Parts: sequence; structure tokens; C-alpha cells
Amino acid sequence: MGKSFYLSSVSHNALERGLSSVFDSGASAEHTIYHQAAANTNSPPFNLAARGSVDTNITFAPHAAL
Amino acid sequence: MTTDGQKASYVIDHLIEALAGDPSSSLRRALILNDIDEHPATMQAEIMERLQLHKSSLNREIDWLFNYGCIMRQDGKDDARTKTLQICGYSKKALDAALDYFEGKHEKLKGFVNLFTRILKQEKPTLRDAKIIATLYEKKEADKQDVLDHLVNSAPSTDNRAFNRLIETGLIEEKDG
Repeated sequence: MGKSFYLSSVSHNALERGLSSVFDSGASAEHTIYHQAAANTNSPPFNLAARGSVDTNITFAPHAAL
Repeated sequence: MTTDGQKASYVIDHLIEALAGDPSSSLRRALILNDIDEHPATMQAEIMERLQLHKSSLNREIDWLFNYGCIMRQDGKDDARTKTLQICGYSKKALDAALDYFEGKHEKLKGFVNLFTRILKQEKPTLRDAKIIATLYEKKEADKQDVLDHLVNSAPSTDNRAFNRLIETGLIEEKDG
């Protein structure tokens, strides 16, 4: 068993207060399910061109549209 | 029930996903992406004003977001010399997943990112740093490897350096004994 670490009390308290302020409603189970699915994806999908119509005035980075 | 610590961890994972899976992305970059999504077809000067960023640093971040396919550029309606910016593709999907935790409110996601920026007190805090402290917050107490195992798409040596830097700055403390 290695050394144990913890957040300093100042950081822990600041995070506790801040998080309860920004998360004022419970997350649904779907969040967890989506998160797990996302975590199994190793690389971002560079498939922008396949995602629908492309306006001719729009510029994509060259490799991003491949 | 999902705890606040777990939610924070999930949001950070979605932000990393929205930024090409790069945990070295700065929290500032995440803020810029969130701002572009909140203000579709916005211009760079407007982002600069809203987020109070310097032109040179914003230019670098916008170029990065464009090169990694997070945003697209479009000619302005009135002036083709001006470009409007819009989030797109995988970034949009991942950012929407992060926003789900805030009822779709960009202002709350901004507050979340600013919270970590304030706590981390670094010149350029990253999503990796945020993930480390969110994980430790959730676990209350853990050994280093247990925390670092929660980081994905990340080099172990970089993770280790980030963890040690957080110890040096006093955010993380070692348990006596």
C-alpha cells in the first residue's frame, strides 16, 4: 500500500461549496451510462463531413474533414 | 445516487472529450469552447471582450480548436473579412453531454470551470489538474496510483508530474504515518 493523499481542507471546503452551488439538481442515470460509453472511445471522431450538409462558406481544418 | 464529486469527474471527462481527448487542454480552452457554443456565429473580438482574454492567447486557442476540428469558421454576413465561429462535430456532442449536468446552462458550466481555476491557483491549469483534484475530492483519501488510474489518454509521466506539482502547491497533502 502506497502513501495516502488527500485534498487540503481549504481546497476540499472550497470545492464542496462550489460544487453544491453549480450542481443544484441530481444527475440522472443516463449521464452515467453515456459517460461510460464515452470513456470507452479511445479517440475523438473526426467525421465532421459525415455529420450532415456542409455549407460551402464554412472552412474546416483540412484533416478534420477527412 | 451520483455525488457532486462523481458529477464533477464526469463533466471534466466530457470536456476532455470535447477537446480532442487531450487532458493537457487548459481550463481556459474549455471556457472558450463553452462561450462559442453559447454564442453561435460569434466573432473572435466578442469572445475576447466577454472572457477578458488577450488577443494573442485567444488566437492560439482558436487556432488549436480549429485545427482539431472543434470549431468551424464561416465568412461574416456583412463583411467576408470577418469570420464567425461555431462549435461542431464531436466537440458539440461532448460539450452537450457536459452541459446536461447543468440543465444546459452555459453560465453554470462556466462557473464550474472558474471554480477549478480558482482552486488550482496555477498560471495555466489543465483539465488533467482538475480531474486529479475532483477524483481526490470524491475519494477523500487515496494513494497516488489510485487517483492517476482515473486519467485516460494521458502519459503516466505527465500525470505524475501534475500530481507532484499539486502537492508542491499545497493543494494535495500526504497523510501522516
